[in-house]
Formats: sequence, structure tokens, C-alpha cells
Amino acid sequence: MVGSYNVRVSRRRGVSFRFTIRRNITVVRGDSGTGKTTLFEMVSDHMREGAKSGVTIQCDHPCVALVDMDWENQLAGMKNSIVFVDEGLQAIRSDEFARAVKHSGNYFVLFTREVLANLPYSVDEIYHIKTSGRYHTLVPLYKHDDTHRYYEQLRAKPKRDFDLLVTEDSKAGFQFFDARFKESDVSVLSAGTNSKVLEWLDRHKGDHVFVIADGAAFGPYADRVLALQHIHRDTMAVCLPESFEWLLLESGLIKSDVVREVLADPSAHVDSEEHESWEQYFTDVLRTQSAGTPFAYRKGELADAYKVAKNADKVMALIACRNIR
Amino acid sequence: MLNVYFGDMPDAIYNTALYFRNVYQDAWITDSMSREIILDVDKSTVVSANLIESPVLGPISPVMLSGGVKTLLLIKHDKKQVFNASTCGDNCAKWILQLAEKRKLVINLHHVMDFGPDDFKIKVLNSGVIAHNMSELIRESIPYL
Repeated sequence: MVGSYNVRVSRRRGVSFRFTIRRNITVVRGDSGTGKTTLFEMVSDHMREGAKSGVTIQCDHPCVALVDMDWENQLAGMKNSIVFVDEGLQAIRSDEFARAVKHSGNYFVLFTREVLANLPYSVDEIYHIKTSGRYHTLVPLYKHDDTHRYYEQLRAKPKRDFDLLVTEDSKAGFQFFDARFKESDVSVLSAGTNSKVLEWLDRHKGDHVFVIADGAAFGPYADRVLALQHIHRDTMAVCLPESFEWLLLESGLIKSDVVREVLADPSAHVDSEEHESWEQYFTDVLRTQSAGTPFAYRKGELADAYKVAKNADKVMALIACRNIR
Repeated sequence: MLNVYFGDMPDAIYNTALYFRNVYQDAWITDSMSREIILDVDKSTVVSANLIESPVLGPISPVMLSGGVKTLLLIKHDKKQVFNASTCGDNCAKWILQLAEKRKLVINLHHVMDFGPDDFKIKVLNSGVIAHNMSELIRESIPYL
């Protein structure tokens, strides 16, 4: 399934929801009493009885609710649909469910506060419900500034320079930052994977840390990492661009009409059956569009052209902040 | 004191809304603390055991209360069970702390609830460690979530 979709779910008895689904996995959480269950039940009612349910749904694709304990069979019969899953489904954190979601021909809206470490969902696609009278919409739980530093309530304002820069990966992304800060006071380390960033932060309590991870798949860890940033806002900053590959594309180093089109509207190009996350998609685009040039991209070994100062400057400009330039 | 078990807990009631629908008692709704909880979390007023006035949904029955409120009422009144408190938003956290003031309360969590900026005492049953603030609680959760 490709594209982003406006959804409107309403009924005459006083409730209307309007929101846009942009990727294959959307997570809805937030405070209790904001209408999550009501939205799910309206979709479920409409799925059962259509317009005769009294619920109206406007969307270019069918909106359906996963209601059966026999969810695998129910899901097997769905295609090109937006599938809503309520928090009561315990299987939501199973590997079987994750396998069914990844590379699915459907988009998923998951009402859950579960971590879901086996699903690659974006920090940008975690929402809470905002209400104004009878109207409800989905609002991103986490905001970011123009250098991709994320926060929930208050912007972190580190007061001291950073000693450590930690990347989630140990390959091309790490190699880029390691080369960039070789001659500086900033030490570059790798957590290894996105799931190990929290453990890494635990081992470096008290250090002045700049964290850079791929936002496109960092959803499972965002709440705890950003909570730590809020608590330790004087010494920690968290930067979550879509992915390292997205940074390279966005820097303008790869001159291509395809790159420009993809960056302008990624939703219109990412097929959920081929790519389980936008991180995977941007990696593919970078690889294909840079092939045969000095910027030819390989995950395991970063081309030297990216490490040249004037080229690296263009990448760093996207995430620059105190002593990280 | 509040005791938290992070992660899979087979004996815990996971689907608290479904369980609530089949077990709740009238007195649970009209109890004075329950009225406060329903007003604070769902912004709704208890009229009677079977009627609650919601500003968004209008007159509703107890089964239409939010998942978080249902879990809080279960925690308060059904003391023999352990409940999945990841059905509760952060706006329920203060009520969980209050319910744990006078008894040993065990809840199951599949995420780290925000218990606020003030110090507290929460025992993480997975490790036996007592966390005194959110930074410690987050760090204790790392191996289990």
C-alpha cells in the first residue's frame, strides 16, 4: 500500500474524528479518556454494518477493525485496508503479529502503550487524541525543531558542550561521525543497534551526550529516551532524523530528480509491501541513486566522498547544535 | 507500596475492559473515590450506579468508561488480581500511587508510565530494586521491555 490517507469517522451522536495516516504503522496512545476506544468501536461498528451502523467513514481505502481472537485469519482476508487494532489484543506484541504487519499490503493503526520492540514504527507516527468539542484529531506526541531534536513538552537546552556523540549503528553512520569528529574533543561511540541505545545511556549516566538515531524506526524507544532527555536536559540531546541515509539524501549531495521527488513526499513512494519502514526505503533510494558515482553508498563502508569536509558540512548543517557542527 | 512487574506476566488480567464488563459491581461506581477518579480522568459525573454523564458522549453506562478508569476501579476494588496497567494513560498515574499508599499493590506494565517529577518508592519486582524517581524507573525497565 502506498500513500497517505485522510480519514474521517463520524456519527450523529456527537463525535467526529479527522486525521491523516501517513505510513504503514501508526500508534495512538496518550491519556485515558480521550476517545481511543470510541474511535475503535466506531470503526468496528461500521465494518459490521456499513452505513446502517449509523457511523460514517470517509477514506479512499476501507477502514476495518481487528476484532477476532482469530486475528490471523481475519487479517489474511484483508488487503489495501487501514486496520485498526485495539489495546485488548494481547497478540499485538507477538512475533507473529509483527510478521503479519511488516511487508503487509495494509496500513495499521495500533491503540497501545506497549513498547512493541519488534515493530519498526516512526517517532513521528506516535499520536495522542486532541479534542475540541465534538471534534477529535490525532496530534503527534513528540515535536521536533528544525535540526530534528525531539521533545515531548519542553525543548531540551543542554548548557554544556557534549563529550560524547552516540550513533545507533556501527557502520556507515558511525563511520561518518567518527571521521567528522576525529580532530575534536567529541568522542564518537556506537550503541550497536537502536534497541541498545537505552542500555548505552544507562552506562553513561552523567556524561554529556548527543544521541543520534534513525527516527523512522525509533518509535519503540522514543518514550524512554526522550523522558531521559527531559530529566537530564542540561546534559543530553536527542536527534532523530528519519535515518542516516535520509540525511545524506536531504543534504543535496546526490543530485537527482528522483531524490527530489521522494524527499518532497515520501508517502507517495514508499510501498509497505516492499519496505517495512521508511528507513529501509531511503537506504534503497540512496543506494540506487548514488550507484556509479563517487557517492556510491554501501552500508558496511562509507565512501570517502561523504567524509570530505565541504560535503560533510552539508550533512551536519541539518543537525547542527552546540559543538555538533 | 507500589510494586511493578514489567513485561509478560501470565497471571495478570491483560484485557481489563473485557474483565471489567463482566465483574464490576454497582457499589464500585458510586464509591466516593471512584466518583473522583471518574471526574478527574474521564471528566464525567456519576449520577447513579448505572448512569454517568459524559461531556462528550452524553449519558453513558459504566461499560463506556475509559479503559484507564476501568483499570483503576478494578485495582481499587478487585484486590485479588494483578491488572495490566498499560491500559492506563499517564493521567492515571497519580491515582495508582494513591491506591498504593495504604497497601501492597502489584501492577503489570508493558511500558514505563510517567509517575511524575516528584520522588516516589516503586519496587520493580523483576529485579527487586526500588526506584525513587523516573530516571531510576526507566533504567530499571531496560532489560525487561
